[in-house]
Amino acid sequence: MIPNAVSLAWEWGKSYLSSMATSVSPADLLKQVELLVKEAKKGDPQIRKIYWFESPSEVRLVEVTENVIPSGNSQVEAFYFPPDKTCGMLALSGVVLVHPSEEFKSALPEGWGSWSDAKVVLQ
Amino acid sequence: MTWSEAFYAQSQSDFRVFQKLMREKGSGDGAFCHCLHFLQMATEKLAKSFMCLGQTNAPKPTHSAQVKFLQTIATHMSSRNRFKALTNRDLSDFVRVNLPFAQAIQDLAPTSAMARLNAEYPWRNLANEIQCPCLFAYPQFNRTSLMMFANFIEHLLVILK
Repeated sequence: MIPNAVSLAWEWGKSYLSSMATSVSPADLLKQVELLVKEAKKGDPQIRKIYWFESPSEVRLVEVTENVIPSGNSQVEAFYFPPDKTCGMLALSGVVLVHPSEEFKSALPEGWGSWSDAKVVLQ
Repeated sequence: MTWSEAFYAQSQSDFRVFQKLMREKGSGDGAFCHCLHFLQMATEKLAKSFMCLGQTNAPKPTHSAQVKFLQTIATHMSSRNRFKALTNRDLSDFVRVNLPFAQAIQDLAPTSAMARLNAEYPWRNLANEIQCPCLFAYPQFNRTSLMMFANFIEHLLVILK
């Protein structure tokens, strides 16, 4: 079947929007990680370690702090925040808070990989 | 509409109902349970809207996301900046002050066993007495703390829009 002009335009539009969503450079992602790590420590001085799970389109951080109660679930959940150009954050950021007892034990959110994939960005 | 937008809109709507109930009946006539119920639902859905922001799937069912959500936004730069711009206060201070009340509101979600205090279903207390939400006074929910927490959630609904 030959695709008609409307479906071609639709596919092009989807592809364009998808590329827009993932157009943050690795340097900008790294800068965002540094900003988030610095600010996280200000917001919760009890944070003892932060893991960064690299992704081409968003920043994914796991912050280890004694200030939270262990979730009691086998999988931890992330909260996601939209990009905010006013403070140099061009990508979506996903943040998980875990208690030290959950570190390396709880399953990560879907698509984040495993604990051993992470880089430690605060220790 | 995305899942996140839908949860956010429902959170706003639940919060407006909470405010309406507080204005109309919050001071008496047994409706305090409904005020607490709508505040619990508004905060739960606000948290869930950030569990699925930018994601294709709906958030997983949970009644225990609110407290961790508040703790997470306190560590997030953009939320902190916006809160400071709106209130001239530090978000992490606000979260710290409101966290015990947030935990109490989160714990109001009913359990299937109907074995603990909640704002929706009758339950059996530790003295083996059956309690009914619309007849219960909820003395542990101080009205001043409630209004302070509600004011906080109202600010969050503005800055996190």
